[in-house]
Amino acid sequence: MSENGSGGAVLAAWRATDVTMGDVLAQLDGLRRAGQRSLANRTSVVTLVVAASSEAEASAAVEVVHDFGGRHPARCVVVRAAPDESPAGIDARVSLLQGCSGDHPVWFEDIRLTVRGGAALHLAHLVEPLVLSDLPVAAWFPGRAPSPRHSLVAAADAVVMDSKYAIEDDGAQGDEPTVAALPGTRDLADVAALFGRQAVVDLAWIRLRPWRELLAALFDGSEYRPFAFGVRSAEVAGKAGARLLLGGWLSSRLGLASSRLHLLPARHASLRLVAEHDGRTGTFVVERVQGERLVRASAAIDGGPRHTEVLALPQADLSWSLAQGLAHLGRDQVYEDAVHAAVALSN
Amino acid sequence: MADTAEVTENPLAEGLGTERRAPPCVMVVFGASGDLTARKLLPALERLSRHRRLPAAFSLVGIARTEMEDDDFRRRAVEAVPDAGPGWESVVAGFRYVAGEYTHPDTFDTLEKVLDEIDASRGTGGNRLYYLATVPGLFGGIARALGEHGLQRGPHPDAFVRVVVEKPYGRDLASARELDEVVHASFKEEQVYRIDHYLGKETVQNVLALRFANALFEPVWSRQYLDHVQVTVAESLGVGYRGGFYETAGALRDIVQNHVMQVVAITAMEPSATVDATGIRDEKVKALRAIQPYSVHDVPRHVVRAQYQTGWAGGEEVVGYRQEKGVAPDSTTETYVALKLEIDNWRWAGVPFYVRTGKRLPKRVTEVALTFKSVPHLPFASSLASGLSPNAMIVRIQPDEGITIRFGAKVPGQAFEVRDVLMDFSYGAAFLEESPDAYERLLLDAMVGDATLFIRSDEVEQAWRIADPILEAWQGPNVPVARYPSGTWGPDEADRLIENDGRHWRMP
Repeated sequence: MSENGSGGAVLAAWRATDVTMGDVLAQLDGLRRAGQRSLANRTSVVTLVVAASSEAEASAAVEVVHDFGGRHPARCVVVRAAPDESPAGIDARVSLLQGCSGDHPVWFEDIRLTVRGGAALHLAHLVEPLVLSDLPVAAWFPGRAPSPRHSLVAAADAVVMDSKYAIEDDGAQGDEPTVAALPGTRDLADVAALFGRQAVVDLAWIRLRPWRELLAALFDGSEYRPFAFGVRSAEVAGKAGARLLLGGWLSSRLGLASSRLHLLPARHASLRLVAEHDGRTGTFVVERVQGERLVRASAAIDGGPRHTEVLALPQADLSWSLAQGLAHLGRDQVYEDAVHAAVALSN
Repeated sequence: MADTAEVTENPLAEGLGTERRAPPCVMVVFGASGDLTARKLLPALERLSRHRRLPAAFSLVGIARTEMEDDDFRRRAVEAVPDAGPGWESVVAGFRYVAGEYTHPDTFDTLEKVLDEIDASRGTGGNRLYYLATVPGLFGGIARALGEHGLQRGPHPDAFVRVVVEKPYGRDLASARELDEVVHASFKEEQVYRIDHYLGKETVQNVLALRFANALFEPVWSRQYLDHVQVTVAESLGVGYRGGFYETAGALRDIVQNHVMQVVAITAMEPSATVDATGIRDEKVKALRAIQPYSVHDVPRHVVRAQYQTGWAGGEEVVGYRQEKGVAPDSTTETYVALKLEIDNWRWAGVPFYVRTGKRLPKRVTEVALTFKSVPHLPFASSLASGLSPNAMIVRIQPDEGITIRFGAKVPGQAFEVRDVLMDFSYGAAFLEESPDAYERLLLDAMVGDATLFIRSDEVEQAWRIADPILEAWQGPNVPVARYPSGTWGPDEADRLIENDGRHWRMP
């Protein structure tokens, strides 16, 4: 009984329609017992609940979590809620998979539920028995950011979303010189509404990390550091979501007034800061190298030192971003400040 | 505790977890054309660069006797890391090279000029990390020369200057003290980073996490519950092309005095109030101080030395140590050491530490195995408990890093039969992050000024204090050197060492 997923071989699987959660739990126990006869280690570190809004989204999510499971052992529960479909009932599929984490074989499980009818409005109750005890629960919403009142939000320690879907892109080619005209800031306000008890993991924010790290690093050292406190202008280019988040980040970290911040549409993200200190001007740039998955960061002080750093961008596929995001669960105050600042920029 | 020159916080770095990114600095490598630089230091720097731990304002100055231009050295640096990421060439582009004798004044005049140029052009802030990767005999001379040229301090008070010294640090207690005197004439102790790459291994540090982050383990980590501890550092390879070097070292100097003593110290130390350079090293020194060295007379009863003989290892027939290239046919240099250590303090009195290390053993493995005392009374019929051994906890340091706990469980069935089962935890299966290589970790530590995983002067002295009588005893005439076939776990004499105490070596 073996078929290959994108990130692991299926060791055993079970599927049935119109089942009870008791059936699902019994099958899960059976598969785990079968798995214990195998040689692979079973070390889960998180339960990942995926709230899919369609069958296609559920299938796509399963592909991602199979790949993810090999990198970051987890129990994955993919739930598609269909409150308007009938007859009411639950269809389930349970799989035990084997993947590889480095040189180590690992097991992980995925459980896929389609919930029709009234039970779809009470997902937290369905998911609770499937959650691994004593481990954090992350709820991933692959589509738009969820409402803070979504039952799975309340049941999770962390909400995973991608603000790319929360911010409508502007095609990155149009003229858009001012912050106030930006689309999407209202959607970011919806994201900000999630900030509270749970941590929010924004996959778009994770993908922007190399830009943030590189720019921050340009201000390391006593020669360059003082310029961080004298930024005269900052130009942030990129798609709508990226430039909003990066603009909000600069605004919140450096206390930049919106008049000093210029957000420009572009295909790839870039940052250019001009700063003054002690009568000298410094230019700090992070930009994508044309045609390559490389980012170049450079700092130059007029009449003073200069340096350039080139780094490869990580292969930021969805399962990589997800694994990065779940590696350190906890509220990210810098992210929350950046989102609040981005929302404020438009007001 | 880091002593970096940073004055104000970087507002953009908050939340990025990049506190462990090195500050702008210049690394100066003495012995830049050597094996260690090519095999370890340059690949470690490349990984630091790839993982965004190296500052953009970074440069390396290579120093060696070999005549070379900057570009030749840069080409070597690129070739040393064939699988480097695309950013490596941009890092290497800032490297410089100084050819010269290691103690000649001209070399240091040129070095000073080059360092000033780099500070002005790249903004490295006068921060220096000297790395002594030469043969050990040159360590003292280089440290002295740096001091004589005023290079032991930075161009301004905020700049840091540190020196990393490779092992071996001395050949015995007296030579280690002599070297310290010379080094301390130029550098303060807090500037000196004595490296033992074993401490850079993630799982050696994990012993600290296991012990001091878990209420479950630390309470049983003592004489109240433990019968004995076994430390195994086994290598499957022979001395290979290092026969000439090995003849001057031997397993006691090469492994026991440094790696093994560090593992023993971390296993035996008391909890430190803080995980920092002072707290951890104070406790390690206390643990080493509690180990009573043997008198020269007692050494043969508690220490076994041996050499590997011809045998079968890894499916091939291999030569014995005395037949290796560069080894004297009548060599008495040990390739294997087994010894019993007693730690005379409240935690460990009566719990012997049995240590063994050797080359050409059946597999490469490093582990610490804690064997628990038997339960005071076993309420099962002896025939039904014959498969039961004392509980054990094995901390696997390499290669399959993790923890195994051995305990008894009931065999399913009508009878109350119990036997051993293993509960296994593997780090690789639980964490997404790739562990940094030991040199990668330690180079970064030295750059950020964290000396926790480096050896302090008093630790070196304590380790030599334990090793010295053994070395002295082995210098005497007619001191036997046991033999063991390659591919086995050591000589019969080592088995007797532990079996005389009613115990036996575990099979790693």
